[in-house]
Amino acid sequence: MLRNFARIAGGIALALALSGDPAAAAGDRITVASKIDTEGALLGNMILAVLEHAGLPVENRLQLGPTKIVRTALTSGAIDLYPEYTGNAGFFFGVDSDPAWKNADAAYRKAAELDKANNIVWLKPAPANNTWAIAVRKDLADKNHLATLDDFGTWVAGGASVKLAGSAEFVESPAALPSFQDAYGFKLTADQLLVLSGGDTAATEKAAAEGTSGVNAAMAYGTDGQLAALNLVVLADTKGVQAVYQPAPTVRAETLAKYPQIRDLLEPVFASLSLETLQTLNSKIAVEGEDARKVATDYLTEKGFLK
Amino acid sequence: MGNPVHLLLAAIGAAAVLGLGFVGVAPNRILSPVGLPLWQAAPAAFLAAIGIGGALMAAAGLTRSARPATIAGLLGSALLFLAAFAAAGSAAAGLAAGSGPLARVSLGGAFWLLVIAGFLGIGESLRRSAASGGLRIAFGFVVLAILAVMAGHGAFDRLSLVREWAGRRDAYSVALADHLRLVVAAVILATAIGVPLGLRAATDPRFSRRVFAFLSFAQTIPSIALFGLLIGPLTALSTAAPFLRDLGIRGIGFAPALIALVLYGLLPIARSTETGIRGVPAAAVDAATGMGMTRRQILFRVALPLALPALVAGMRILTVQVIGLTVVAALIGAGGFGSFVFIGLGQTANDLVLLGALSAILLALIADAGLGALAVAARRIAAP
Amino acid sequence: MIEFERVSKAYEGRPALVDASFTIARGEFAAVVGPSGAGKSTALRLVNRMIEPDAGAIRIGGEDIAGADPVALRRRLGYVIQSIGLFPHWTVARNIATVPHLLRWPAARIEARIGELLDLVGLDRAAFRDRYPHQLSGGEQQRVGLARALAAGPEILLMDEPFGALDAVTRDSLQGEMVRIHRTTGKTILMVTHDIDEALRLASRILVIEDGRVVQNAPPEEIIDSPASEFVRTLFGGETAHLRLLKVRRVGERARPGEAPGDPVAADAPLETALARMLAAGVHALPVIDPNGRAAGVIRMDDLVRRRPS
Repeated sequence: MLRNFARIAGGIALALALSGDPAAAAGDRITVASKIDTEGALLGNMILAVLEHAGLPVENRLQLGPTKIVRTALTSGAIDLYPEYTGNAGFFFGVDSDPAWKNADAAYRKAAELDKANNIVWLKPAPANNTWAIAVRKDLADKNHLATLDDFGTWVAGGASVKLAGSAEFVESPAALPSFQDAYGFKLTADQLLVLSGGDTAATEKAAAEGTSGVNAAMAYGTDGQLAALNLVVLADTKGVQAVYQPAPTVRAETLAKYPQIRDLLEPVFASLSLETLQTLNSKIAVEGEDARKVATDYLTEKGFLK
Repeated sequence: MGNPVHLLLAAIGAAAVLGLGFVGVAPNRILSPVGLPLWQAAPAAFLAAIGIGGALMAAAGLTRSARPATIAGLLGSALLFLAAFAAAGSAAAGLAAGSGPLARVSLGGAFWLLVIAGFLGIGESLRRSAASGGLRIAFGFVVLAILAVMAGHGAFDRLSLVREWAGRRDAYSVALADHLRLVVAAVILATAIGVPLGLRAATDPRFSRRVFAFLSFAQTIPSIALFGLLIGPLTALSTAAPFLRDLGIRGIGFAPALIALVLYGLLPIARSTETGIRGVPAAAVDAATGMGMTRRQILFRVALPLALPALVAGMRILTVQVIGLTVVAALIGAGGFGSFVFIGLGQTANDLVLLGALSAILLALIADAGLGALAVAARRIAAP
Repeated sequence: MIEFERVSKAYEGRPALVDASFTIARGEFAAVVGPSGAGKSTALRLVNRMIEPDAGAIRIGGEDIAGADPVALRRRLGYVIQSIGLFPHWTVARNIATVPHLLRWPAARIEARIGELLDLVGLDRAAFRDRYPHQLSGGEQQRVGLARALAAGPEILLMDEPFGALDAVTRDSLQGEMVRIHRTTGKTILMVTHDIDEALRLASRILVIEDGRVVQNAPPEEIIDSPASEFVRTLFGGETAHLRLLKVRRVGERARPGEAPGDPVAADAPLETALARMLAAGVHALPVIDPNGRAAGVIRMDDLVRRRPS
């Protein structure tokens, strides 16, 4: 009798699962997903709006989860399409030390080449590099004429009073802060670092903006929308120390073969997204609290992608 | 002496108003707010209403006769509770009008403490009063109805929390549906598996030791780690057997979330079933056997009815726990209120985090109250 | 009616019942006595297959119960235990109706039966019908337990120390009820008790068990007159064993027609009461009255020492 009860309960659970699993790929539709962050919401909504506008059958699975989840969903076929950063391919395939990642074109070609094995196609990325960077308070930058990391290196080496907030990964990973230090000739002591373990750029930038614990510089991503609102400026990586992280739609080859127009629809949209554009649009979502879908469609309409 | 609880709550309310910000104003949704005290933030009328409410509560604490104390406590608490909400809404409207379009007004520590003091004060008065159950529920509904009317008239529209919700109404409905679907499925499955486990454990000590060692161990796995651990095997499974994918079983989303939630949920439900069954008088079972009841009849007519209060208590813990854990399930693509929490954390938009967290808490409170009513019914069945 | 043939039962090598053979006739009231752990309860629980024997056969009405369905068998046997085991979530009426419900009697028949049984065990129908077990005294609970066991008209009533947990006054009154119920229903009863007085008072046949063996199986007076062993003699009181009969036999059982002067003694009083009253008044005879206060003959000193009820 209990077995019957368990069987009925299992049936109900399964019915509930089928009635609306947010991660379920629905039949022939193109399942569009994105990461659970601001830029993911923006780019995902753009992709969704453009494909919908072109009359393609789409399924909305935006803001599905962090990178690992969304990437796994794509490779396992649970979703068909989501925007990913070229530089991340280095980590997916365990080849992040390859110098190719530091050049935008080479990084894109390498990512596309590597993912052929997974039957995943990388469309052309946006010309915006959402990479690791160092941002400082605007008042500090103006006063000390800081525009590039060269300026920053000289300033720090000259005994400036600086305190930088970063995640543990940013501080310790050889590809991050240590490579900046080597390239630009400065060295931050333990006293000059505030490590927010597991911290993301939102937390480090907020700490710098509000001067929490004396912090006045922060780990940042190039396209972060809140930088302007927080009165922070990103220092240019003139020597190209960091890997390039350009956002590009990644799509299952099978889906692209079925709907080849996806390429022609999305590539011009991504081509229009510069670093400043992404910062502005991200800021509308993160700082002004606007609906990501509205921000995306407003931009697409303004640029003539939607009519 | 009246009810010292009311006096204490009034004192906490007064200390909160004096010591903490009532609302906070930030230039935009991601910067930290600067706290403003109640008397600077809200119009005098609301200040007076909160003062009168607090004074009534204090009077309830000091009055000697019981009946006036209960009435003063009840009215004072309700006034404090409602006036705190009204004052916050009004303060937000006033402050937002004077700041830029991006400025946000969030709720401060004094607001939360006043609301909690009022809420506890209402509960305490109703418990002490001679009012019938129906009357108490009616009073609660009246207070909620007043809040709903205020909300309907846009009294809270300028609060940052409400703006976060207003900006994503559709996403909110989807999140609510996803959250509820996971919770309902997990509670049903955990009960369907946990009750038989508990029944077996109640009569088989070796099985009991093993199964509870395993379930207790499962509880110690951090939820995020368990969700992560399930992605690999489930993806492999659904790749190897594509028909499973059509059934909704795959590495991300509903399936791994449900499995993890059920795994966590088994301990409370199985444990309380075991406790409940162990509490059934051995004499009743012996008599039932000796009079010719089958095992099934003993279970359904004697053991389960008598274990029902423990079982419902277990379901209560299970449900509240699952509602909380489902927040984390947003990280594996299962949706729910957790998506607001994690998007909010990513943007350091605290009010968006709060929107997700408060929604889950509210859901838990409603579920707890509903199952509390069920617990009363269960006790009536087991011990009339 | 109940027949044990060479029945043995051991628990983890420790014998509880050894090669037991005995027969209890229809309508007999049999008591099983012996020290704690001697195997009394085992004997009882073998009859309704709560325990299965290691060897031997048990027959009821000539039919070997090993071939019967245990559940159906138990519904034919009334079962009363020391801890009573009323179902706390059911009313008195629902408790009494347990077996009739299992047997799917029609509602009207069950309803009528509940009333009859409350009458039989001396509980007021209106006052007790809808009460819950926790609202009853221990004695009232066991009356309900008895009614529940009798509900479906079982051929046999099995009672495991039914009055062991009750206080002396309640126990005495319930033993009186048992005598009356046995007389009015004519059930075959198998009762386990460690109370020798109870066995002497109620039983028409006593089985004495020592270390799992039935050492004597005889009517009460016969056991007192000629105990089978020193153990039995000691168990029943040794030199003063016969005094126990004064305690358990009732005046009404020995009264004869006639009249005598003086204060009357109640028919349901034990013989020792009559003896005490004779000693106090210095007389050799007392008038007897029945529970309704009517004259019921006379009892003499001779009747107290008479060997057998005539």
